[in-house]
Amino acid sequence: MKIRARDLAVVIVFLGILYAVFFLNLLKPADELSYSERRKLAQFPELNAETILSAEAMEGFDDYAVDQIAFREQWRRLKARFDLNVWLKTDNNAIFVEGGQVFKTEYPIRENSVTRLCGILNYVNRRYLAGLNVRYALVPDKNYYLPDKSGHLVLDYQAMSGLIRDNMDAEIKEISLFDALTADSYYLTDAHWKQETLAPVVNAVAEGFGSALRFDGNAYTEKTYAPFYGVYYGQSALDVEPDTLTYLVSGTTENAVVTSIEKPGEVLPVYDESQLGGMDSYNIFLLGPQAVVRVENPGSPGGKELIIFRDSYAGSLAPLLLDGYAAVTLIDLRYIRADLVGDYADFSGDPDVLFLYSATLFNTSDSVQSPPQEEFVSPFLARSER
Amino acid sequence: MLFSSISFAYYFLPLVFAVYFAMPRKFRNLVLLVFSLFFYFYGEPKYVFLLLLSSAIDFTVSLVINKHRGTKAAKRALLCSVLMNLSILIFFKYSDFFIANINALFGVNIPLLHIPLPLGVSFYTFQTMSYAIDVYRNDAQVQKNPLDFATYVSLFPQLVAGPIVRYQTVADQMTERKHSLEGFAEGAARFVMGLGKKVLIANALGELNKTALTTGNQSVLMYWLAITAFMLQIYFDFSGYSDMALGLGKIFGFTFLENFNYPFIARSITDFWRRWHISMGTWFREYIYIPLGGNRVPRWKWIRNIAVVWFCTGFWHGAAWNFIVWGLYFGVLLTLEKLFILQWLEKIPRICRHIYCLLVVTVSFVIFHLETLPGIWGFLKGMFGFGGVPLVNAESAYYLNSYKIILLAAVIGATPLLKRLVMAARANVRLERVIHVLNPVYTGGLLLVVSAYLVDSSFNPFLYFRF
Repeated sequence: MKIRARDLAVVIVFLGILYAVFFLNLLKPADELSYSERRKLAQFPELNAETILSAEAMEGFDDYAVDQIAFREQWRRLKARFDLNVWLKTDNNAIFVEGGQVFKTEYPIRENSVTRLCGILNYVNRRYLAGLNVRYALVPDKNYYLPDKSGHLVLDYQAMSGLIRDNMDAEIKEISLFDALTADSYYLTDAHWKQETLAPVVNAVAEGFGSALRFDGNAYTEKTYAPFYGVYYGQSALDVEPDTLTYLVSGTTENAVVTSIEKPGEVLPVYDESQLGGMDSYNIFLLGPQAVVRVENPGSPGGKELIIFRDSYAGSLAPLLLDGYAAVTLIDLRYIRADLVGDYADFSGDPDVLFLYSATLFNTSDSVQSPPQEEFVSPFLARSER
Repeated sequence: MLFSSISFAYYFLPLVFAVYFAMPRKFRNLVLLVFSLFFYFYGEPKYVFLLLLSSAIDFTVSLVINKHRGTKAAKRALLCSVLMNLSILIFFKYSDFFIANINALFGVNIPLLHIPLPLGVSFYTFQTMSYAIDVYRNDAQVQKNPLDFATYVSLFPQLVAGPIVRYQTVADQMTERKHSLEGFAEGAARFVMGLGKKVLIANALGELNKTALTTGNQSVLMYWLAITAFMLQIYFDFSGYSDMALGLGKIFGFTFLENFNYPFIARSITDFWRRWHISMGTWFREYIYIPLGGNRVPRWKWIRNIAVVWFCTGFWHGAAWNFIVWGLYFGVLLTLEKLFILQWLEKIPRICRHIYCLLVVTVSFVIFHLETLPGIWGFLKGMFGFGGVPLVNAESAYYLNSYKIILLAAVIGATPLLKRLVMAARANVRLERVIHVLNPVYTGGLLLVVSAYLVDSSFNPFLYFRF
């Protein structure tokens, strides 16, 4: 190849890529959502004197240009492959694949975040739960079950458990779930645990409350949905095998009456199958993210109720606890402030109360809403009071 | 607008290329001016007037200097240019620094102004000032066309981060420059190379530096990872930007002077500063050091001249004491080198000279990076094993493992090794053919990979979200 031919080739390749992407971008209609990242995509900014002079329009256009670029997923795939195969990085955007399972690095412990959540839970305990049977359980992230030789950074769970224990009100006892789970308890492509593996968790929780409930696999029929693309599937931007989502149906779950304060007057199913194939199929379990959901078990012989303050993990666990209770109420403090909970949940009748939170939420508790400052007992104050 | 953005690469560039090359030659400066002002307006809508003001002042002043050459009026006009440019720089860049120090010194409470720093103000004020000085010294012809002058000042390839292009470098090219396939290809390849240095290496090392600095579990290795990543990040970021500027300039027919020449292979600090941010070093030498008398003065004046230049160099980099300390640190070292160390360095093995230079430069980057003196001292103690932290821990080992290839690529890329290999290969006809074939493949491939990183930079997933 002669120099002129080389130069011509460089110019054709360079301009070819620039103009190909330019015209593809012009032709491509804007997408509203990114299913892989589970977020809204930036739209073309509003143009007026105010947005232009404040540079808001330009910043908006920068976001729009990146979010709406043609073949966005393919670009992300190329980046992920380059990071992992050329740079040989141990993760891509903190996500890595080990033995076909996708993990996200959650590291290190953010002490302020952990103590903040403890403080909010103490507030709930002191305001609503005096004299009740209250327990807490920490759901380890699946990285806890990685083999030591994997070399990845894993939270120091001994330190985190100690931190939680030291900062929770002393009367709230722990239900340990560490031995109730294994690496196989979690989806390959999702952060969550698999409902069909939760028998030991059900039994551990029941034992923790002194309940006679024990998981009976024969009582359930397995229903499945595939392919289930978990939250890490899209984030990893890699070719990994999708999961099969299994949910356990029984007479109890079929007959249960589900209500949500966000859907007043509606009777809802325990398993909302319309969520399958949507943005997050895991939302099949008790409607996904909801502020307060109440599940009544009309067939329950007793009147004992369970209240779970929770994140998303409880959605798949609660249906399996129904056989032991007349009702299970799930309260998500990310969507309702703790001081308002009393308006929507009934703490009379001596219910069991469980704080069930994942290590990830303890470590990133910003999303949990604080009660009003004047009422909020700081965890540091709480510690000195004890 | 940033070069390393999708908006720039896939919207701005296609438009500017199309309009520029479609226009007759006589309108091309106007096209560049319009696009350059839009480029600046896009990032700093409110400060575009400041850019135009600085240009207008120096254009007018230089006409006055030219008209009244050799008279007091010319001197007054030059003084006016210098004062106006310095006033702009001091007001927008240093106001809060002075106020904070006055408050601390006199126990008063003058409110800070919190003025956002206009993009590129440190670069374009120096450019316009140097133009007026060059016209005064008769080193440059006066530019009588305001559009051409405004084009020179606002030229988008080098507007916001240099290199500082002196007018005399591009004076002829403003009116007569050659556009060629060869220049376009060379410029495109250089631009993509710069983009790669910035996006693939500097940004990744920036992440490593940030992680290493903010970890709660420090170790000696982590300190070294942090500062090594920072040094290489700054180098690849800045030299990458310069490559992009030079490459874009080449596409439009301009030849700017090189700004970096493998500074980390320097064998002394004197050598390092001949290789690092060359356009800035040249500016301070030409417009401060030499006018003060340079080294052709009594020794105490020479030392004063060095101190003044390096105080200014440090202060130019940022309105904070650590930058001043950083500048003076180099001033002291350069003085010592010229007085004693250089003679000694010539007698020791080359490898020892490299180690000396790298160590001194590494310490300088600690000063540059950390804002407080206790922070700098604590970091240096940690680096050299006096911080009461382990040599290595799981975290530092993990990050070293994760970034090993990027660090290796950065270290190799900071030396002329690859360049020399390619030069050597070109001596062989067959290998040269292979290089010719690989050139477009490499340029296109790199552009695609860089674009992938730019797209992924918006990666912002929500685990839990509701519409």
